[in-house]
Amino acid sequence: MLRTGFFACAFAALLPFIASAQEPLKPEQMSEETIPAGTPKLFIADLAIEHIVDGRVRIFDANSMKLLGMVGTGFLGQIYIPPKQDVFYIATSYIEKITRGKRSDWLEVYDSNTLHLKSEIPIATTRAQALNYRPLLQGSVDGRWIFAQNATPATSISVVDLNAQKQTAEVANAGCYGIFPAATNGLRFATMCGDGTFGSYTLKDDGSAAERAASEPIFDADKDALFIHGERDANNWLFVSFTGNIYLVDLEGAAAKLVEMIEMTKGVEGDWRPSGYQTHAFHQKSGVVFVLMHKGGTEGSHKNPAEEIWAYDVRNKKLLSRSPTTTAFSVALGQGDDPVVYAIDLVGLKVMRYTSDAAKGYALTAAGEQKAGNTPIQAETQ
Amino acid sequence: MLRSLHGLMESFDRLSEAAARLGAQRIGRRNALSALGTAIAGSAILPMLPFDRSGGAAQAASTRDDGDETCEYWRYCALDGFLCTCCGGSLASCPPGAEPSKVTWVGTCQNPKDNKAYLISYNDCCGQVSCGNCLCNYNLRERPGYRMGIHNDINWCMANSRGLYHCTVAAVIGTG
Repeated sequence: MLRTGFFACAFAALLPFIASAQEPLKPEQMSEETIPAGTPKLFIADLAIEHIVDGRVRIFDANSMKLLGMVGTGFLGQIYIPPKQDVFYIATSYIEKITRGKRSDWLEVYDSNTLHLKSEIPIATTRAQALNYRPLLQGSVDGRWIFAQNATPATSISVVDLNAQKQTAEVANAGCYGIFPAATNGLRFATMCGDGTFGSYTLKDDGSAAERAASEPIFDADKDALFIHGERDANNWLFVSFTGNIYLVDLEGAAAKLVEMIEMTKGVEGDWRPSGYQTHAFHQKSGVVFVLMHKGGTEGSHKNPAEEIWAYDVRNKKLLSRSPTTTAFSVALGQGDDPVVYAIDLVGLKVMRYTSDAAKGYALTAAGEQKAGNTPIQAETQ
Repeated sequence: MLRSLHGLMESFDRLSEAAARLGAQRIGRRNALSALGTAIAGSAILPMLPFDRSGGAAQAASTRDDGDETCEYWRYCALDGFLCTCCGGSLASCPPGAEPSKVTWVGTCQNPKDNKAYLISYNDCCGQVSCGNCLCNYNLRERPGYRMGIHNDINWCMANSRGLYHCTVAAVIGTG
């Protein structure tokens, strides 16, 4: 009985194999994934300092933090992630034989869903080979022009016409750095200058040249320098300073104007100051800016790791909440009603995801994290 | 300057200090400067372009000192990058196969042995792959690229035909 039962069980176990042996095996089809259109994406630029000719940008699902794919960014390449589009841009350098040989620089256009190269445009080999900062590669509001910061170390800006697929001009911005496109005029952009002014450029229609107008001094680069990272606040730009002030600057006109300066840290004990690379992120709907902060700030501490992320109401000039974070150097967010905040931990080499709660002053709650490579610097959402 | 640096470090709590030191091992890139001499820091002359010292750097003698493989060594008060002393070079010479950058900037650091301030040239060494050892990052009086001469988040091998960044030296070139 026992023996019969054993053979019966063994036969039953073999049945699937016998059946499969009678049918031809259907080979799996090899294929290539595509990121579904509409997937909320988080881009993290990694300059890979330990193998610096081989940077990359990783693309994560902004909700699950799952890695969706990656694209090489060459030698200290910059990224520009336009909102609400299915493309993104990389400006980078290649050396002919990796470590030696002729240098060439390119503006590359990638499909955000297939991650395939759509086109590449040669640009001036004066391109700034720098850490990833958003203002070093930007696009015009109408999507026609791309602006790339150069440094030899004399500074200039390359202008690329995406319609004509060519660089049309290289305009000097000596003593200045960074590109801040206007919100209402595709031919206009501004730059931030070491004498405390902003320079505003207005391109000719064909992009071949630009007129420049300087503002009055807006900040003091010795006493209260502005971080180069800027955030749009409708038609203004929102900057933060080394000592903890917010500067709202109107860059729409022929020349820039200071709208308002707000003392964000006034009345707060502990010498808290902003710090990092991508120092702040602005939530348009609520008027709240999230700022990376460290305590005991002093001259030279402006790239210290952040210990807290402050949520500050710019409209009502009120500090709403202070949330702890871990050695954060860059911050970005999604623009939902309760914004999701992403912070890069450059010590732990990871990107942290936080949810926020408007009812609690946009206080943050940890909601996932993911490894982010060798030298993750810049975070962008699309 | 060193006093300022010590003040900065002492102001950290234990966690932050550990994080900053870890960060110094990870972060940044860059050579360049931060700790400017007081005369330079007080000036409003713009743009402040780096000096061309390619000849001087090439002639610098090999130099070593106790502690020069740690980020806290006095000459590194304004250095951001891989220490060449950890890569086969010295305080004033590039490792084999790498050449000094043609453009750079100077910092001012205080030597604790004599309490005098010295001008330090932070040349990048160029033309070799990333060294990867002893990544340090101090930023006294460093500023964004609108003051390019005191900006340290950029490749200072930019003017060399062999433009690959390898590591950074910290040569004394004068008194502060």
